[in-house]
Amino acid sequence: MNWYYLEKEFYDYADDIEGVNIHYLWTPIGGVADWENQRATRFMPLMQSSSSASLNPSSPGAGTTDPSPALLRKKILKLPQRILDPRSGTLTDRYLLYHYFEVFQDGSRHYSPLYTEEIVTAANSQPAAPEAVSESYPAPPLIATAAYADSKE
Amino acid sequence: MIQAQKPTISWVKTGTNGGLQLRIAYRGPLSGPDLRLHYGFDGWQEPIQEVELEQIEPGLAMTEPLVLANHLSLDCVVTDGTQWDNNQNADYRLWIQFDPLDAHMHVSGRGSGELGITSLRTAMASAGISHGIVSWVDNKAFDRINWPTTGLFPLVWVRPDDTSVKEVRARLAAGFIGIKLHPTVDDYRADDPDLDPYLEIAAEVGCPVACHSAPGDADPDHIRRLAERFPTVPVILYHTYLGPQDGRRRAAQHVREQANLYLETSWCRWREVLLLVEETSPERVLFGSDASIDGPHHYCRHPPNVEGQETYNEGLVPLIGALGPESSRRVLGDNARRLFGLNGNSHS
Repeated sequence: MNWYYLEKEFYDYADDIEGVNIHYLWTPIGGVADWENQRATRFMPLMQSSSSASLNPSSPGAGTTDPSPALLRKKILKLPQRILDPRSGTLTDRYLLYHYFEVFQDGSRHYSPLYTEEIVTAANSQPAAPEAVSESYPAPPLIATAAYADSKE
Repeated sequence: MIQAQKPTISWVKTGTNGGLQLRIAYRGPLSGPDLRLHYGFDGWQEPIQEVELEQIEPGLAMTEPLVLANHLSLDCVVTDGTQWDNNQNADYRLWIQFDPLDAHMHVSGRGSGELGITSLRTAMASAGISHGIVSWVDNKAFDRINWPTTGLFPLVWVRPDDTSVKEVRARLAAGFIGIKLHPTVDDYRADDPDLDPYLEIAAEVGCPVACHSAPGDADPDHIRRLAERFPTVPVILYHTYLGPQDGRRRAAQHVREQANLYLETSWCRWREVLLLVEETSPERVLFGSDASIDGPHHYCRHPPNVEGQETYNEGLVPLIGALGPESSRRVLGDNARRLFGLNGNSHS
């Protein structure tokens, strides 16, 4: 099975953040999110200072030696190219992705709002050859700008 | 020499003519002439009793020797006649002639929230747990903890391609006692070849590897393949598969067939733990709880948090009774102490 890759970001908004998880799942459009049985959870690692600087050229530390830890976390989510649409009984490349962040701060656990977005992988319009990318050799991530916009804290 | 922080409630052994007597010491906030210990045995079974706590010195009061008969645990709270010290509504527990170690704990650092070390201490006191093995998703969170005072022993959280080999070596040299893997949240398969450099370090320094086990990337089949590649490294399946029963049976079968695999029991009901011991052996199962992911009431939370059916505190008494003293000591402490090279054993 090949995948659709979507990158999510989280900016640490305080110095005492001890970890961030992203929880997510997907449903057909109009479906109900079943967090009990379909949840996926991934840790969001902090980017290294050097890569953080290059990713964020407007940062005051960009291009300089900045000893402070980077505050940017990133995770590439592995999503299906198509899912079963129960209404038509066929595979569809349009579905809903739900996600929220679990933030560990000063020993406490906080949750972000729940975000919902429509995913369109365009897999139905892709030719056969590019779909043969194997799981063990991941394709370059497909960046969804909307995802960036709604995941920054 | 660094001294461990004295617990609020603890046993004090005194002996007369070769006979061992056990008193209870109280180092909590209450004091005064009406200080009393309110207690019951084996999970607050009737009859509930009270005994005077005599003030020995400021900050220390002690009971007379208690009659313990054949009980396993003592549960208690303290009153000065007007106020109660009930460990933030979690009560206190002490095990009789027995010092359990929790092989699977988490602490996020020194923060004041439910995942911080203060919360974990409250949880441990509620369950009579004085020692534990801890990890956290970010190793840096551990940098400001003074471990010798805590009774806790840290693992290095390894995330392939993110955690440097240099960091793992440095932390193991600085007192960390093993490696923690979580293939599910860190998004890799448990037999990923990228793990090999870390397992090579574990083999070199002689430390165990604890690996989250669950459906998918952390499946016991994958963990077994990792263990097969490094037969001298003890590999512990945390949770013994956090999923349907068939996974636990497969995990137990792998342990029977692969000599360096071990099971850990967090989120398993006590009858499941008993079954795992019967399917493998008392030397291959380690008690753990995942404390204090559920905060200071982790071991005694209501509604119950172990498969929604029982609490750890409720399950441990019948488990220890069913296992018997020798097997209990192995499962609830000695196996972890042996594998991780910790001093002592579970006999108090």
